[in-house]
Amino acid sequence: MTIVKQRFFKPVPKEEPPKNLEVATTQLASSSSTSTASPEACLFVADDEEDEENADDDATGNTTISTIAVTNTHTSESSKTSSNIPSQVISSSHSNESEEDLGRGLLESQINATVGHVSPHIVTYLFKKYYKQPNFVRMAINEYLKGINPEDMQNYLAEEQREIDKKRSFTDTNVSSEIDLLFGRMQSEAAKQKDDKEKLQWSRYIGSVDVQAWATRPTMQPLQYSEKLTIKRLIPRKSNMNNSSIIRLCTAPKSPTDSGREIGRIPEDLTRIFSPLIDLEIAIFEATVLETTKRRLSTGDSFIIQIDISLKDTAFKFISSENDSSQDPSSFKRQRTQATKTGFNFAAETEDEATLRLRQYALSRLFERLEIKPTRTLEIPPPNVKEDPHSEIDASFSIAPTTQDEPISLDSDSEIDEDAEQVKPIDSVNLDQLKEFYQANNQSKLLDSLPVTTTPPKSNFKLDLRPYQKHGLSWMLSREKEHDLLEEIASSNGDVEFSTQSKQNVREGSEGVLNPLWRRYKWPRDMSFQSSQTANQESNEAKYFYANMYNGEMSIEKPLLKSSLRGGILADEMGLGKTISALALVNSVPYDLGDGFTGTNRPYASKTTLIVVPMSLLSQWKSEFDKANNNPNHFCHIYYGDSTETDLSQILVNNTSKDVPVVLLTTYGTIQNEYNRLAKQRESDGRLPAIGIYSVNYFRVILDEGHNIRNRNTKTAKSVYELSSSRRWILTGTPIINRLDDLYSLVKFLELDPWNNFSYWKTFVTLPFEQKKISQTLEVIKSILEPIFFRRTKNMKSKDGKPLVELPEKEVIIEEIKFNEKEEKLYNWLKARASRSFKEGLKTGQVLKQYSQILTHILRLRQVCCHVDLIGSSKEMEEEAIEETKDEEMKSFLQEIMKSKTDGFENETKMKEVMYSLYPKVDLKESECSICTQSPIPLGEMVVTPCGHQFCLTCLLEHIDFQDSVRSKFCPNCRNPISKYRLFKLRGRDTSHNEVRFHSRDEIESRDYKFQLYLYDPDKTSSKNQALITHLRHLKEQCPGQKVIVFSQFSSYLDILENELKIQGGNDFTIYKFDGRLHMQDRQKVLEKFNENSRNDKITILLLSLKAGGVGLNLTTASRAFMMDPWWSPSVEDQAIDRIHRIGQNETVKVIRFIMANSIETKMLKIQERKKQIGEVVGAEEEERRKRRIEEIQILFEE
Amino acid sequence: MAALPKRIIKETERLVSDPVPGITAIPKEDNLRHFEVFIDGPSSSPYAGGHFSLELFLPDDYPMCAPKVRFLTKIYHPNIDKLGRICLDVLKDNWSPALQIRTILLSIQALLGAPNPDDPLANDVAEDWKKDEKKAIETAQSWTKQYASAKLQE
Repeated sequence: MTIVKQRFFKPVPKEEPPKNLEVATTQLASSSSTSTASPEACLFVADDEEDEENADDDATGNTTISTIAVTNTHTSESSKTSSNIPSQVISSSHSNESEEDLGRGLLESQINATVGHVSPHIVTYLFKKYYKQPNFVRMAINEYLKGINPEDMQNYLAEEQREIDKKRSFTDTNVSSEIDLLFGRMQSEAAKQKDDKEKLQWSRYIGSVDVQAWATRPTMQPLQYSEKLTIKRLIPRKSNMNNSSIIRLCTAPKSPTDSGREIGRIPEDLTRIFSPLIDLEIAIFEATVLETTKRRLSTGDSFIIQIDISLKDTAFKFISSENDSSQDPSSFKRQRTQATKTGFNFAAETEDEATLRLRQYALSRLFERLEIKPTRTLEIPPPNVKEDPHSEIDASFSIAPTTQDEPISLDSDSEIDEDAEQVKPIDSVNLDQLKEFYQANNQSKLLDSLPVTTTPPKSNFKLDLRPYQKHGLSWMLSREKEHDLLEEIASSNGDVEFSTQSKQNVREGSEGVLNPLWRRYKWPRDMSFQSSQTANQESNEAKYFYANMYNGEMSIEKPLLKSSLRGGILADEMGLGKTISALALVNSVPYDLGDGFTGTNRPYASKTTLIVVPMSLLSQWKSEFDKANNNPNHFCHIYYGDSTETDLSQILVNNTSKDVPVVLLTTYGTIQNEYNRLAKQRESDGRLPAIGIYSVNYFRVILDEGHNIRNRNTKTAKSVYELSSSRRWILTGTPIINRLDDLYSLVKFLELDPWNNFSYWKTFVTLPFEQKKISQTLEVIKSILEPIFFRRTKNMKSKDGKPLVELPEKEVIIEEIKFNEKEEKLYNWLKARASRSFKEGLKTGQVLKQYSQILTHILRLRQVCCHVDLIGSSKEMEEEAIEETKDEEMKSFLQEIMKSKTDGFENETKMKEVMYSLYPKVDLKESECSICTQSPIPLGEMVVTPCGHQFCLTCLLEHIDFQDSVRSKFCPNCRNPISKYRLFKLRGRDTSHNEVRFHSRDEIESRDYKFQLYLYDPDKTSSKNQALITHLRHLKEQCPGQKVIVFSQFSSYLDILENELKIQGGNDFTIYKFDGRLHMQDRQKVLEKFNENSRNDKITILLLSLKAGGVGLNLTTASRAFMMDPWWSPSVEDQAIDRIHRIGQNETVKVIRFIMANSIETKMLKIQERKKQIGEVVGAEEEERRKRRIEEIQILFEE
Repeated sequence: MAALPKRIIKETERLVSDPVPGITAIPKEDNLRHFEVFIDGPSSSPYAGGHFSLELFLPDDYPMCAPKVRFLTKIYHPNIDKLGRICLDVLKDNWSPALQIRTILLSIQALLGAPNPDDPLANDVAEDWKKDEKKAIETAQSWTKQYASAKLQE
């Protein structure tokens, strides 16, 4: 036991007089020489497990410290003597007698052979005691097996010690007595300290398990009921802790020096759980024999023990230990990690992370084993009741081996791996999820409590804020913890609503909310074997404790999501005035009036807010600042990174306050440039040199369009991470562009602890999301962002029910269109096939299996609604499919669709005869449409009747359709009968007169023609196309120069439309197309061209694919849209309409949705209606989605 | 009100810039589809010297359907009834979009020159016309003098 105490003593050598140390190190040296000699050395300290652990740690961790202390405080002479001691010990036993040596060797080998490896100490003791006896080997072994009397051993060893001391006292007797004195003092000191420590330390019972252990070595006697056993964990230190190891059961030592003896082991599964807990010193295990064994144990026998487990205080100190570095050496490491957090030193955290993971694993398994469940009275219910944290953990664990060799990679290497996979489709966020996320982030008690009348001081800020902007300012001020100012403003504005309660809410709200990753647990009643003896100090303790089963942290206090962060994300939708809000904040709190900021060694520019904006917005910001500014002393400086200004601290951190710009504007590009330049000159501690933009520590940094840094690996992102400031803000209308991880970079910039650590983020967000635990992930994100995230949309209503922003009206008209004859025929044929397939599916219960097939059928039906050609090349229309049709009439009809036709004429020859005779009658220059009086008729629009009259195609078709119900159709000019099927169109190709003469019998003038006639096919266009063109023509007449968006989900349909619009209205329409096939660099160009002011009265049309262009684009230059086909989800269509119905739109928005009457499209409208009622399936699992879909299909097929 | 189709604008312009002799048609200021029309009676007809006032309205479907035309001046004519309604094929079934305001008004002028009692609208007038054409023509002349004299108009 003395040895243990001495070891314990090591960390405090400095307080002792130097000579004292000499002894301590002497002792240390001798003990460590023995303990390292054999792994069994731990047997010595078996009586006190804690100490063993501590000592062990110290032995590895602190040897260096003590030697340093020695060299510092001692003369070189004394350190020499101390280092000589071990060899003296050995030499003393050697020098006595060579016979002794032999005998000792014999004894040692005998003992080792009989009972296994035994500490040389014991051997020495036994040898000393018995070697004078004749059969000393047997006697020694007997004593060893019976159990060594520790006092006896102590005496012998002390005697040996004295011998050594004596030897030394030959040189200096004075010293020896002094040493004795000091030694005694030291011992008492150590004991006292240990007591103190024990008082501070506590442990509390958490549960018991009954274990069937098995014996590894025979025992001398049967085990007795209630016999105590000790538990020991022995592994080679060098291996990883998560390597499976062994836990031994040993007999309880009967004396301090008795080490106990291994008798058995506990099963592997428990070992896996217990060993990390032992290693991490967060739990105590006590084993008691539950059943008296009938006989003494032999190897392999099993026996039953109860293991009582208590959690130690260390388990709960996990978090605080970061602040308290005196606790253990590992905290040094943690501190260092914190210091370098702003750098990219992810690798430094690897070890910590591994420990954390291990701990989390062990704890969760332990809780599982002990059936400890969280109480259900938490404020925030568990994210998903079905997926309890354990299964979550299992999942993440089981995945680990599959990803390379690393366990779930929490280190920097894996982060790089992850980069390669960034384009994974799986982690893209879909629209519904995004919507859910945004909605979720807008309810908070805090927000309700904030006053809505906060305005910046008039002396600084000229403009008036809208109510929601005032509200936003309140929020921003509360985020910056400017409560006093907030209250001052509120009271000066006479805001009665801002009650004390509200104030309380505001203050609390910004302090932190309960961390939802945590669960509350009730301390179990102490059922341990010795509960009666140990139930003492717990009486006045808390009933509950808290644990975070995601990372294994535990706490006695209720864990709050605390954030010391001042700042946040203002994510108001575009156009709600984020710029103004930010300027209002700057003008409300232009300087740091507090005690300043001491985070870094850069000088503190306490009066300057740095605003980083995209290049294109720089001048806009400048002018907005000037517009808002009302204080002549405030001005805004634009920083371009010129070489003359390399030391900003000269400008920003001087005393004459008037010269300090209150706002420093710069661009992402500027910062990135400086970063690139400076990154090479990093200082030894990893910091950038304090030059240029990095030369000072700003009061506040605001990133405009913060999504610019969404990829954390870009230089842009990295360059802004390294800006230092005491307050940080991000403005963005689109915090998530396509992945949840986009948020990470924002959080990292804000330094929102702990989420700015990618390991955390990955564990709690990225991985669960990839595993499709979507609602759970969103829950986590919500809790991460709730305190720091604020978003309003233009759809939101203020408290008085008015929308935040008034938008012009929106008219959506559904226009039903009738199929033409051919379309209807084809549609019905396809529909019959589809419903047959669906009914078969229902009958055999295999709807799900045939799901994709049915979807294809449905797709075909929807395509026919748009244009017959859309299905022309599809499989269904291949010849075999047509051949299968039994209906002969249908068959020929279908075949007809597939080939070119000669409708309206008896045969092709007749048709050609008529057509070629018309060539001379066509006059391109002098033609006039007698219906619309357009002259000349553009070539693409012209149509020629067999009687030789020329019209605009649309005019004539309108005429023909108008007459439809009345009577037979005639030519407006000559009243000859006409038919849609006997009209000729023109295209701009040359036709030789020979060709014309060949076909027409008449002798006609021999000239070549600049055009080519061809038979117009009324069915080639579709009813929808026709309807669209009619609308567009009307528009052209009524509001020339308009811009129009045409949406479709089929890009091939957009192609058809493009073609037809060009042919039919080449001079009336300017056509652009934007779909997924358009290259990124071309997209912007197309949009710019479309948005340009048109100089003519043509209708500018943008053919826009619903999927590629439905989100994000701003097309307010157009006020009209046509939706060619419906989509399943109404929200997608609404989104699309919002491209033009958004802030910036000044005219009434008119939208026409084309729907084919009595078709699948009308049914789709029904489904949309249903979705609006029951809500979208957000975050539902795949299975649920499918079920809903099937119900929807049923709606589609019902008559 | 929806903007005017180009054709109507074009026709109106042409009616003003290139008027048909004996016919004027001016759109009303409050409704450009509503025309104030004056037709002079053909010189060789009983309506010679008459200055007849009509109204013409272009329906929304114009030019797919015919304009609506009505005499405002009282006229004694077998194909025009008391209310001023006109029985003319091109205003009904024989309308063609190729026809225009100008051509329609010319047709009406022609109708004045060639009454057609076999396809009557005002049956009493038609009967008179058939019984005693001379007397009927006289009546028509006196009505023209009485109701449609240019002086009276002014």
